Amino acid sequence: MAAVTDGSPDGDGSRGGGPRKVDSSSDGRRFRDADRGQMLLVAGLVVAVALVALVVLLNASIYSENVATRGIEAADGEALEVRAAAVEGTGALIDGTNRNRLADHGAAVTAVEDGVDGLDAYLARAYAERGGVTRVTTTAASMREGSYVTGALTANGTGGSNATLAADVDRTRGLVVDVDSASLASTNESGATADAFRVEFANDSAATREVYVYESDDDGNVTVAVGENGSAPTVVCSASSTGLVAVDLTGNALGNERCPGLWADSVGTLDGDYDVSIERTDAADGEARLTVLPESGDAVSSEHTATPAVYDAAIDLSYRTAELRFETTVRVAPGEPDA
Amino acid sequence: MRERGAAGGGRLRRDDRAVSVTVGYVLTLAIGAVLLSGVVIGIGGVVDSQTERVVRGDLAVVGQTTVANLESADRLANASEVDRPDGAAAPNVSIDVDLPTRLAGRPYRIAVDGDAVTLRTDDPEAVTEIPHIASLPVAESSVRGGPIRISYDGDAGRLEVTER
Repeated sequence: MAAVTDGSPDGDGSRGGGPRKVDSSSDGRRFRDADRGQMLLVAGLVVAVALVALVVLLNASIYSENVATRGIEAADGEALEVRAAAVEGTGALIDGTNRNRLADHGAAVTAVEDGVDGLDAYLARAYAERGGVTRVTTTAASMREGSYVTGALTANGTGGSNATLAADVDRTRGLVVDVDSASLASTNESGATADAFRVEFANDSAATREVYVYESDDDGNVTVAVGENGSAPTVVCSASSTGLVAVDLTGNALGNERCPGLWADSVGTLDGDYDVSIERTDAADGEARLTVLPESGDAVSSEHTATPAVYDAAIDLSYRTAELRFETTVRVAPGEPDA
Repeated sequence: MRERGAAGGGRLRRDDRAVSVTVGYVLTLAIGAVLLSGVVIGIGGVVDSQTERVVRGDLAVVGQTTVANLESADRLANASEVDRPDGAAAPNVSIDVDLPTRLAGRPYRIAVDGDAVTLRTDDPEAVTEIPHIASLPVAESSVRGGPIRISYDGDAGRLEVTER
């Protein structure tokens, strides 16, 4: 170590003023012998490597914890948004087409097809901005044709006080009766069968379900009751209303109030195809509208106004992003009850 | 020569100059070695404990990510079956998830079943189980940690997790 010298009188060859060769050899020996600090160097290296490893580890940990605080699931909300928008748009399109009362089913189907193409282009533009690719398509073969029926709550010249809205119906959607609450017969649960306006559903085996709408003689509320095969009905719901009140039979609603079980407890329990008729029309003013799928053929017979309509449509829906793929087929029948 | 040699050996044996230097040198080496060993062992222990902590933390984070995406696929699969007409083509729902291939430099495995997602590393030996609430059945599977695909098998009506 430092104690080991080259034995030169001055101890440092550089100051001795001797030949250059002697100086050089003296320096070389000194550096070779200067091994103090090697241990410190190794220790420092070990500590440095360990610290770098720690930093890398802690950085990984911090990154992971940071990732955990972000929205880590795929953007499934957008796929569901696209589905909802496509279903809602197609439903509005079908209903709008039916309300236009086109001359024949072919025109109605073509109008819906064209509309879905427009909807597809709109959605594609809207979601391209968010990095998603949408596709909505339908074909004429995927649509089922039916009738859109409307009529005032009158017998419509049938001679009595009853009229058939639609005969031999397989499925019904969007059945809404708008009644003038001031025109309703005032009665009660037991008197409803004799006095109240009703919508009747009768199947081929003569089983019937009746939905009565009347003004309660107790509290004056508009009341909806459900009966079976002409027996005394059971009140389902009632609401205090004035003016025109919408009784949404397929949507289970009376005005703005929910009316749970209105469809399921009445028509939902009926087997097979059925006729829809309005009876005792002298006990109510207003109008009814519904869209029906006939048991056979593409139209139903009606004593009111039945026009060609699209009952439902199956749309092929696709939504893709870099990490998500959602492709399915959806049947769109707006206002169809679950039962 | 012999006398002279014997005399020289005796002189060397009696000569104890520079002994303290040698002893000091050896002592310095010994103390240095002990200190260096202490540093290596101490730092190594810290690195090991931190590695285990990071691995456990990462397993939890990656597990939560997997569960979140599994439940996301579950929601989409359920939505794909709502109002689907009879006879229509099977729905196609899949979600690709880019998970890291290693956690703190350690490979890991992801096991999925109907109740939970379990992540496991062998070194350090760590297991994290994250329960999920997917409403659809989930096919039991075990995949290497890394990019995975969660897909819905419409015919079997179940979710599947595969490597990609």
